[in-house]
Amino acid sequence: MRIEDFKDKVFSYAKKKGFDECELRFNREREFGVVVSKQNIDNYNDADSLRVTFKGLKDSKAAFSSCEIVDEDSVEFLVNSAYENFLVTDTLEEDSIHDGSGEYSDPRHFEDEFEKIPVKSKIDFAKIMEQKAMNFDKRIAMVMMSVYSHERYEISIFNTKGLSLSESAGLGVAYLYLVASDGKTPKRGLKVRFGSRPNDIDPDRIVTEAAQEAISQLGAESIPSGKYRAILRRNVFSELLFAFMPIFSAELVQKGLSPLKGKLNSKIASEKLTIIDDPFFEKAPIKRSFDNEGVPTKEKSFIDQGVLTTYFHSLKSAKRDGIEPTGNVFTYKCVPLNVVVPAGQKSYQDLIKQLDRGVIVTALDGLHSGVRTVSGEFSVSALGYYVENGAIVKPVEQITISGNILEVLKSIEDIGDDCDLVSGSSYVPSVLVEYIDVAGSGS
Amino acid sequence: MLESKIVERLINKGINNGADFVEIFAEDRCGTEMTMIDGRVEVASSGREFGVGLRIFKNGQQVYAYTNDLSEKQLSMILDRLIDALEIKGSEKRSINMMNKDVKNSHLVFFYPQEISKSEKAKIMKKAHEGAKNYSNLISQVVVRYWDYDQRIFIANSDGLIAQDRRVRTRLMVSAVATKDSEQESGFFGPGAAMGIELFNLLDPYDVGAEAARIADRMVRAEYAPAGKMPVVISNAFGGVIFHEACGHALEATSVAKGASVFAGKLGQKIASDCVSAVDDGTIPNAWGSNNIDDEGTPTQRNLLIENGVLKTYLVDRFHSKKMGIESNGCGRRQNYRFAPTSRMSNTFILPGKYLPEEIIAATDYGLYAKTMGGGSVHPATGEFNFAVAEGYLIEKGKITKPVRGATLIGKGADVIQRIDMVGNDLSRGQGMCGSISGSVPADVGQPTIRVTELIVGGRSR
Repeated sequence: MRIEDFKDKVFSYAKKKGFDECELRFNREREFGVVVSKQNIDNYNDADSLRVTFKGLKDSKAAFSSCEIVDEDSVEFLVNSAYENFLVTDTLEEDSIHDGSGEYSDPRHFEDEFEKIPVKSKIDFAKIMEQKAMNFDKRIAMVMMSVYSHERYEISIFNTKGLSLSESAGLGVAYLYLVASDGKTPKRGLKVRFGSRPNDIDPDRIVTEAAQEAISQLGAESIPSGKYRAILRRNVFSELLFAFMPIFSAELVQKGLSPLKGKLNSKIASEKLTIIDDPFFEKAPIKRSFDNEGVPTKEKSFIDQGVLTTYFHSLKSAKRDGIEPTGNVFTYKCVPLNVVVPAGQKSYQDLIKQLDRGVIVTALDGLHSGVRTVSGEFSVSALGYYVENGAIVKPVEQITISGNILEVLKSIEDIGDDCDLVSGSSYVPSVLVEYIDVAGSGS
Repeated sequence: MLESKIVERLINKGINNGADFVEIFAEDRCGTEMTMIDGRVEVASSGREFGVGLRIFKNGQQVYAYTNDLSEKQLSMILDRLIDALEIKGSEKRSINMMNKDVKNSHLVFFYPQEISKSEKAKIMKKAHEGAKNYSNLISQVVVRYWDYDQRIFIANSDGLIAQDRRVRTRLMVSAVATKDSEQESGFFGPGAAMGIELFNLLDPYDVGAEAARIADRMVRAEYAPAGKMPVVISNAFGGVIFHEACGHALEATSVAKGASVFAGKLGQKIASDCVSAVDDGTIPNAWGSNNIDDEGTPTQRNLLIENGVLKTYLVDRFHSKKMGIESNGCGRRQNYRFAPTSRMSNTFILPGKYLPEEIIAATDYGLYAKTMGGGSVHPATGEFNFAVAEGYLIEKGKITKPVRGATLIGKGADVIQRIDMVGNDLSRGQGMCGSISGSVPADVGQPTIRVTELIVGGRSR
């Protein structure tokens, strides 16, 4: 069935069923990925898929359903199951469907250059990257995964208030996960690069960084527990920020599930810190002009020189607070699209000098379980280096770092100038914090 | 789900083009997700997933593709692309005889999710909400989530196998928040099973809510956990996440076959202390991680992984089975048709030992008692693992003295399983979602109460 006909059928059946308004979102995805290990294709994915999401509104209450096939059965499934969901939804919060108000920038169109590359060349990319990593240094013992992948999605939203929006986004990702060994203890190295064009992704840089990271960890030891001055390297700062992004969700704030409740327009971080949500950020591969509720996106700082300036709002949370929605509903609700932290003055090397004595945290594990967004508390596994007299003296393993995210943000002493695209949606520098709790062993 | 003639033509096409193995996996899944906040249903959604995955092997390489366009034309075109990617050519002409495999159902379901109204499900959530809310006046917020799904799968492969199965899962998850002065802490409890709503005849939703609230209420009154290396007594049930992370993942063929696991090449060797025996059992009736057949059509089984400290077997899927020269033992799993399957755990647990849990605590001079766990993760190549304690207590002079807040525990798998020195007799299991390269799958972890002589506790120093 054509999308246009499907849409008409769903809208008319929904009206008949009793919904006041409704909306359909189509998400068509194309994915490709190849994983190489020991010069063999270990995993490979070539996929096209569609997901259709229905939102029906009645008495200002929203109900949802989704399907993956566009046919007569799906028309009934979407509307009937959403209607049953409506019957049990007893929230007092009013939801709505966007009428297209607000200022939209031009819809984005992703020129998918990755798709034009022959499959064989993409497989070769992963094979060559693995080979280069193995040849980089004789201490590189194995490549667990050498990966080349890309994805594109086209999103379209139509509703009974006349909204009709469509755009596409996509990115390419390459990464290397390898192991170095000195014959005693294996150490890992993992590097990922993202880009919106094949040329953005430099395999030599991935090889060098992954291999050097693993080699530099050889001989690592734990350090005694205590409070340490610390540098959170840009990738670590980014991961920690992302793990705590739910605390900026207006819906969670309103429900008493965020430590930022009541803190709007107050100082929550060092005045050196500004954090921006930039849905059009040039260096980030994914750009969007509207969110998954059809609300226009916009660039905004949410921490401005240490002050919390906004929460991320959905239609529902904005209505409750009597303000405009902020265009921040994506795969998850009330989240930023691209997080950008403007660079500070200090080079990474200068930050190490300024640290003088302490730890550089270079990798975290366990962020999915060691983070409590209700309180802001965290305790996670970490790796890094120990610094004395402003220079790295040894690699560190088997430690945890813990603290409260709001204390960490306040204790930022300085910000590096080493901003980089450390994930598909964050461009951040390293930061120096006055203290962090470390648990370890040894003396 | 798919016409048998189409299936046969696709499989024969793959084989006649030179593939060693061809597999078709189709899935039709209906699910419900509901969220109740502060006693009211905030969001209710229903979803139907429907798609097909195609996979072929040749000379130790595998390629996968999926789509939700089920036409023969689309499937055949995808197969062509996979054949091209492997750069294979056919020489022989043969035709596979497809045989329907009888799948014996060991997981009886009384009420299929679609037969039960959403309002029945909302009533269960409401009870859980009340259980949490009524637990203590410190409980400031309660979030109850309810999930269920009914998944039908179809698997056909070039060994001539055609198998179909139907899987039902139901889970209730409660997060309670306790507020005291200006501090907030949360507690979580989320039991589930491979059955329908009859789960709540075995398990009172009120108690599920109360358990989440109990943890939050204790933790908001607790001090920070201590920092550093110390003995840790880990409680039963979800405490088994330590074995899952420290050892289980590193026994999966996914990393063993490449030699990328700290336990590769150690079959028959002593890898754990004498008191450790552990199994992965995908056959337990109605358990959260059980299936009749795995996602490659192989019947699940009870695999004895470690016996008295000696490594007995790995978890092996079809693709890695050839590389390792070990038969697949029924653990090829995937989240859904969007993933190629690989070796995964199902219900994994340490077998009971001889001690009463009280004896283990009494024998500990100083350390942490980890009563409730959160999730964890591991790097199988280095063995570095972590898992979170959601509810902890200090042990001093053989007694539990005071509650301490959550902290992450870390260690290296190969060391830690040799440092388990006491195993209790109170085996029990808990439910979680396990994430890996083939997606997120339901898995039980389990153990009796155990003691590890040293682990690094990620608390704060005083």
